[in-house]
Amino acid sequence: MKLEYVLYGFGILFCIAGVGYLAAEYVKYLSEIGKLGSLLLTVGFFTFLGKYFEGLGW
Amino acid sequence: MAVKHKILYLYLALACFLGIILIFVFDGYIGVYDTLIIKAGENEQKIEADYWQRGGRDWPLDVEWGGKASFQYEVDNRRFSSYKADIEVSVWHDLEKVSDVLVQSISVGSFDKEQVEWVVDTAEIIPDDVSPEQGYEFTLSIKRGEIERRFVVYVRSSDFPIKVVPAPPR
Repeated sequence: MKLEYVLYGFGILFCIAGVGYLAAEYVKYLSEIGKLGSLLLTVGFFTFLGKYFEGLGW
Repeated sequence: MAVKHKILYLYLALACFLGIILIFVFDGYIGVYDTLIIKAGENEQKIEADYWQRGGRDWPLDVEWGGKASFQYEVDNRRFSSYKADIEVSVWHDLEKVSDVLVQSISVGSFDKEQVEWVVDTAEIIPDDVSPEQGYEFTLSIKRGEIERRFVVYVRSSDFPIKVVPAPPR
């Protein structure tokens, strides 16, 4: 049971690292205003997602 | 009421995610892009703007001794405003300017393209005291405003191919 959670943890970490790497590659070619917009939307995304999970009782 | 709020937060998070994707797509499309098509002998090469954006250095180009290379430079303005720039094409050798090939101002309308063409004749560039056996190379610089694209042009004769010296035995 514990081993499964460790594997889930690794899977989630690799997914986040992969998405982070791809996003960093894309961000290199964005304009300054595009970077700012993306940053604000990322903050909004995690805020609303956090609120949603908070509502679920996490 | 609380359930509605929960779903609303989820939709807002999804909207933010879609917004990020849209910014990536839109920002990647918008801008001023240049494409160069070079014809030298039987070879045709197309150099897209992303070569330079990815940090590409001087583009190497082979031209037959005494031959000509024709260049077709296209400026694609994918912006909501018009784009004006001066295009300066010049030939350089040993960090010294040899000659100007072209100086032209362009004005490209919003979401429009503009083409500039020129021909480089190596016979006019190579000094008289350089023989085909020696070969010759020069740099072609294309300036569009503050942006510069550089090409190293190798002029060689097919009668004198490059000799590959085998590595000495150990």
